[in-house]
Amino acid sequence: MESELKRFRNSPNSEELTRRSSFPDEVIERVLSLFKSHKDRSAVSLVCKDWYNAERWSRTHVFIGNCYSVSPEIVARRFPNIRSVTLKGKPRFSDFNLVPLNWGADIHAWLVVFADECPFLEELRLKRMTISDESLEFLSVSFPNFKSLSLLSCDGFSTNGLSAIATHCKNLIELDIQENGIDDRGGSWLSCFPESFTLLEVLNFANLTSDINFDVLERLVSRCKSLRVLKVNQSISLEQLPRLLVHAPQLTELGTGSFSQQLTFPQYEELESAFSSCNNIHTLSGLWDVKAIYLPALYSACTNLTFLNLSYAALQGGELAKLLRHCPRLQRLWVMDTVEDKGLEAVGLNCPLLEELRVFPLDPYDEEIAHGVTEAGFIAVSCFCPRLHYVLYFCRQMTNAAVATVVQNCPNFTHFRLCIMNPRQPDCTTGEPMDEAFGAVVKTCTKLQRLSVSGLLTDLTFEYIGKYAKNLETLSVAFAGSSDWGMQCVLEGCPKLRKLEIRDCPFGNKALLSGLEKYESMRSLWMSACNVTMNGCRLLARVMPRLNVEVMKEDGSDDSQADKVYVYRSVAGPRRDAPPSVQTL
Amino acid sequence: MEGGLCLLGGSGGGGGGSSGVSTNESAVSSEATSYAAESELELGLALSLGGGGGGGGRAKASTAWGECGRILTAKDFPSVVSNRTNGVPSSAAAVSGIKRTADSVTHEGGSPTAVSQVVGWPPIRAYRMNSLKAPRAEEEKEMSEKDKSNEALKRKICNVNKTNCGVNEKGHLGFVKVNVDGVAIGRKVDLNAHACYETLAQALEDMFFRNPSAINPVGPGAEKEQATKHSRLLDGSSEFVLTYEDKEGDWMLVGDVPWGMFLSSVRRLRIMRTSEANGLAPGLHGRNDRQRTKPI
Repeated sequence: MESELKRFRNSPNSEELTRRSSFPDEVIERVLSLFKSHKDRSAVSLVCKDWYNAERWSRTHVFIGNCYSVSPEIVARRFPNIRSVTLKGKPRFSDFNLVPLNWGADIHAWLVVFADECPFLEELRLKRMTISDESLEFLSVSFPNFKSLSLLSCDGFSTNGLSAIATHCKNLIELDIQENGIDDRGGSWLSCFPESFTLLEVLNFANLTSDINFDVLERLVSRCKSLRVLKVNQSISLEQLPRLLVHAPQLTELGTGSFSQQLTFPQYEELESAFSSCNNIHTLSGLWDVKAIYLPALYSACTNLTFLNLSYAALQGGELAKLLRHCPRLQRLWVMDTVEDKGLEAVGLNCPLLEELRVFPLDPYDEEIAHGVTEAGFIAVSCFCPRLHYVLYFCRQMTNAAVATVVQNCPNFTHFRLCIMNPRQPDCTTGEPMDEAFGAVVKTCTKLQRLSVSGLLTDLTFEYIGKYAKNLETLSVAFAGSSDWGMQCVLEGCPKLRKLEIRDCPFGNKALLSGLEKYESMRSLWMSACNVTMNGCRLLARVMPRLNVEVMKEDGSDDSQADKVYVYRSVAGPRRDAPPSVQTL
Repeated sequence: MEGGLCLLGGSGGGGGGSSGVSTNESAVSSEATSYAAESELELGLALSLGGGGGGGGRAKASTAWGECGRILTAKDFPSVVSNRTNGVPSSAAAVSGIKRTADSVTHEGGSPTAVSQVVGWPPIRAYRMNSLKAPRAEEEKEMSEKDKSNEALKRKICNVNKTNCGVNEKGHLGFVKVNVDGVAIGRKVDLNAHACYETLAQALEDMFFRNPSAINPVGPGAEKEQATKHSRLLDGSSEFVLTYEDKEGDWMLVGDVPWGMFLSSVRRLRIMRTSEANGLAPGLHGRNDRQRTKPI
């Protein structure tokens, strides 16, 4: 504290001296410590040098949306007291295998710097980063206060890395492993938690497929009295689940294991009884291979449920309806399209407080049997759920009229992600492009922050977006547009645009270069399988030196084509860890 | 020759977060597109189609997953033509159902009207695709390390595509699709979990014609979705029969051939009404849940 105050007083600006004397440092600090949001803090730091310093010394959590936008040295130097770091690495399309292997986003360099400069680091949350077992081991021994590890959509590690974490992190309270490309070598990592270890509050290993030692898990759960989030993997059976629940009635988030074992009646009763003592659950997930006849066992725990994740449970419409009757307070629902429109009607009827709906396809490549959900289901939900503001909807057919109706019913969309699974598919009743659908979305939903478009779309869609989507921050486009004009409309019209990801669209250099000034105010731009050439990218790189322009070429493609382009602003300069397939211009 | 769209094509969601993506795609692409579009048209019903065809690279890929037949429908002949000016020749795109060429592995070439053709589309995380289709880890324990990595790779490849890939080499992916007439949603059953027709039929009955005797009072909400009780599917006494499509695309009654032979030739199962199963002849019956085109 003393040293921090000294820094203020040594500021050479005399004007500030006078101002400061009427505004004690302690007050500034106190006030600034209340700012949690990184956006607010960034704003604060720009006010004046004093505030910049006050802010940097008091910041405990750093959010870095693109790990290459800044170097670990810069971060550690500016924020010496950070306890928590959130990092995002690869472009989002890496989730869909569009990014080459070994692209980068390796956390190790960051860990090395932090181990030196910020050894009191407690929390690390990574998304789409590469992390090796060696890095995990390094992490576990370098940060004595380490408490929280969350890995989402990461890769490069195995369960051996988890063993290191369990073994060495004496203060661990959170281990959250979600949807990663993990090399699962077995469940012995769980046994690495010492018998004396009791601090765990969050344990999520739903990602893993191997069996774990159930006795070890049961003992761990029973001695960690503060455990509030437990998400187990499929290896945990319905028979075993009650034995965990009885030890943890305080759980607020539960991810079950497999929900399909053949139970005897006493076992079923035990399951039902275990759930009835869990009065605090607000989030429920898992339910792998669910057998609907066992769902009633859950009912008593559903009263306070606000988030139900059935995205791995292939329920049918009627089964979902029965379950939802017991979930009146539901705010977020993720389902599979096996529930069909009938299931979505039930959603509307039973969940008036719904704010978020995600519908995932069971089998997106199957055009034969599964009908999934249609425009009718979408309308049904919108009719009865006026608070709906987040939707992710995978379907095989949609109409302009339906989307217009939906947004009329629910004008408050902030996130509208519609995926008509067949590329370039027109309105299924009129045969027209889906331009008017997205036009309706942007005209009506003035708070829209995120938009994903699909279906047959001309430049008109993008004209609408540019003209109306004034709060849009993230736009995802695939197989759409007619000419450069479309992309230009967006770049010129959307003042808050931060992330633009485009694939398989007829946008070329003219479109790319129309956004020259824009890209520095954005986090990143991705364009793949468009009409951009190497020369266009070189020109961009030349004119805008503070942008990193990375091109990934594919085997056998034309030398002049820039197959995949990733453009992002950076204060760290071009990166040095790019693989041969990635060229920085 | 492979039939239609159902197999290869986009490895969207295929190799997990970090592994095997390029290997996937090269295996996929070795399935050369040189088998002619014309022959599909001539045959009308593009049911598969014995050996031959394809390029030399087929051998590698075809062990990874079997062939499957598919009846071309109106959807296969796109009316919407892409205006993309990608370098990839668009002649291949004129008839959809053509796999991408070896060159265009990761090019989204031509006018993809079929979801399965495009890399990374629909935008669903690789993790999700693998979780929904992969068998549980215990099944892997029986395999050696090498088998495991092969199996994992093959599973990823299978996951990528229509999974009519009841690849039945020992220890490899044995999931096949099962459809019941009158039920929109199909399920998948793991053939490797069974050693004989009896257990398979039992499992299918449990799956589709729920047997409530396992749990007595599940509460007032318990219901039997199928009003009729179904006796065994195999003995002909039920209203339904169990049939399967073999690797030649013919629909056969289950139970006629030895189990091992069945395993090696089954591609998918269908529980159809006995009334419709009369005179099961190759290619003429079955699958009336899909549109069919009968050209020429």
